[in-house]
Amino acid sequence: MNTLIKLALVCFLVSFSVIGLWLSKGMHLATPQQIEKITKTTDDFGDVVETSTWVDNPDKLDIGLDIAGPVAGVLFGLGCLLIWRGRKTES
Amino acid sequence: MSKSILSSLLILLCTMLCSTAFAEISKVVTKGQARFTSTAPLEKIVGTAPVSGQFEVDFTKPKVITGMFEVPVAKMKTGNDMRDDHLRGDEWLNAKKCPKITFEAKKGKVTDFKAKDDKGITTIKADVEGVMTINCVAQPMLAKVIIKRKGNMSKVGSQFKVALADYNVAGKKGVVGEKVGKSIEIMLNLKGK
Repeated sequence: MNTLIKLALVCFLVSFSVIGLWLSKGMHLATPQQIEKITKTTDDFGDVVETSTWVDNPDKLDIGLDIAGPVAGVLFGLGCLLIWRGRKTES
Repeated sequence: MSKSILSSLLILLCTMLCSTAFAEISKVVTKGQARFTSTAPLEKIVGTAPVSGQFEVDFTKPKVITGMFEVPVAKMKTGNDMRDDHLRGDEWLNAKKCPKITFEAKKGKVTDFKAKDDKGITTIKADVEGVMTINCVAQPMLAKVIIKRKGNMSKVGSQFKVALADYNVAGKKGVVGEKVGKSIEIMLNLKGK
């Protein structure tokens, strides 16, 4: 197995890992850059009121398809290209 | 005979004038938050926006509820900057041409009224008819509203749904119904004096 094919396998592995990460993080279409933080307070009327604020998402691996799709796609494409080049070199 | 008719008319007139004079219409200026939820097969999107407005009601004998509320489209947030930009774009809420979402309450039918309870809270539940304007398209709408007052503090809460198609919000082809719900659930909470 030549180096190009080894590199191609790494590309496929990373590509599938990115898709796996996206699946495990809830399959968001858009990356949740901020997450909703809900604060519950009791107001003057004695009612529990929920107030939402947006805070930066601390989980930097929480990616959406907008990031996972292109990254996985490029890596998969690169892997295919490397396989083709590797097989051409071998022959 | 004519004297008794005249005195009856005078009494009637006095009663009408007195009831008008004692109507305590309060004007309440409020601020709060709107929370909107889109549920679609591919994704659930939650967003928030600041909402402000004012309403007028007689807290002693609520019969008519009028008011005006608005949400600046530019301040709507969903937790993703690119999605927020799309939301403000021409295909969605068209923030440049229609910078505000408004609801003008024209009349309210009181469904339940509780004058000051032991905690001094007055509660009005009403079906408020008005005009909702989204994407510069105005549509009649009915919203169930709860108004509470304690001292000079008041709060308004409401929950309703709006169908995007009613306001010509089409989005990109194939997105509404797949990634964005056909109707959006909105929850309002406002407080003021």
